[in-house]
Amino acid sequence: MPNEPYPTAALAGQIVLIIEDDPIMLRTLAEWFQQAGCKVMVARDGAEGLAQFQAVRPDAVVTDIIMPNREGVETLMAIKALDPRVKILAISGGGRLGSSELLTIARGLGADAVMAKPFRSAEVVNAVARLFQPVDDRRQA
Amino acid sequence: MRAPAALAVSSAANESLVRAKRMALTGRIAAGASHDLNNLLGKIIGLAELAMDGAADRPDACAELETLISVAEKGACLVGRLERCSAQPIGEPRPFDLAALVETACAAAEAVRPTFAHARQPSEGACRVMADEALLRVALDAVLDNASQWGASRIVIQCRTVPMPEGGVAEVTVRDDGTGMEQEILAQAFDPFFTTRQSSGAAGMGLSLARAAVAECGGRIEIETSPGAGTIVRLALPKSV
Repeated sequence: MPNEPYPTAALAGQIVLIIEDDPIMLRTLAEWFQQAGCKVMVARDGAEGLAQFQAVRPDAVVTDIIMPNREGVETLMAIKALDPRVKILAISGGGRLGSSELLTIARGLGADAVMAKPFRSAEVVNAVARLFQPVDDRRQA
Repeated sequence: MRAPAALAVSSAANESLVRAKRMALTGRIAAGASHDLNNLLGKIIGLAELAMDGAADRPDACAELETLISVAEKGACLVGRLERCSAQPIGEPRPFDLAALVETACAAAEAVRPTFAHARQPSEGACRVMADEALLRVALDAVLDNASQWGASRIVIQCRTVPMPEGGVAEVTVRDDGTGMEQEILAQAFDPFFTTRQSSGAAGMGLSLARAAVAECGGRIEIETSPGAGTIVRLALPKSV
């Protein structure tokens, strides 16, 4: 059975910056969000991600938490300081602290949503789409 | 004196506690790899989904890819269970007799390998240790099991106290007459998942578990070995005052 179609309405035309150090994961996420109708920018580490954010000011950011050069938590704090309204989804495969603890930290530091790897396309795309829905609609979702 | 039935229940409870500690430690070691495992599984799921997009007109291929995704998702559940194991508390240190613990561990080892000799030498000094007893038993089990795997016919075990400026340590020495190890093997002996006995199904977790357990007890573990000269494993532990 082919994949379920994406809920494109909320995401059509939104600019999404994906910050992920793994090239395969980066490519996969980029294709999923393009299929959902987004304009996608990519960065391979936190420093590059922050530079891209300052240059283009995307509507949403999907960032890994454990990365070289500039960690994801540091990156999301810097991005939120630049623009508190930007939607941020933090993703992580875990680490010494475990994925749930890391993502709890990310949520406390400004991520609007968090998601543990691995996940399917519909899960991650829906998670970002929900961030663009009015708060009342999000409660019903 | 306790009745035999009460002793059997107590022994079973202790074995169960040792197993729980072993699982917690295994989880703690394996959880260190969870980030890499989850990332690998994420890529498998991602690439399989992209391949499904390209094979939308081939239901048979899509079905195989969907199976691949569900296998990867089961792998993710397993990683999650390991992370939860690693969150189990390890336990409070309490004073106990190291020689008595060695006796229990040797008796358990002999129950598994009845033909294998574990020669217990008399203790030198009062070997009371301040540590988590069940955790130290995990380390002893692993060391005794490892000693029996290197072509040894005999294992000699001794407890002693070693005076130190800060109050001294209690030490247990496990000496085997096996083949010994090359230095390059020794350098990796404590690494998780390192084994020279892959063909016999060994997981390579014994000595890494032992080291993690001894470290949790506030002690250290050392190996002295050379090819043809057997192996000596020393566990140095905080002495109870």
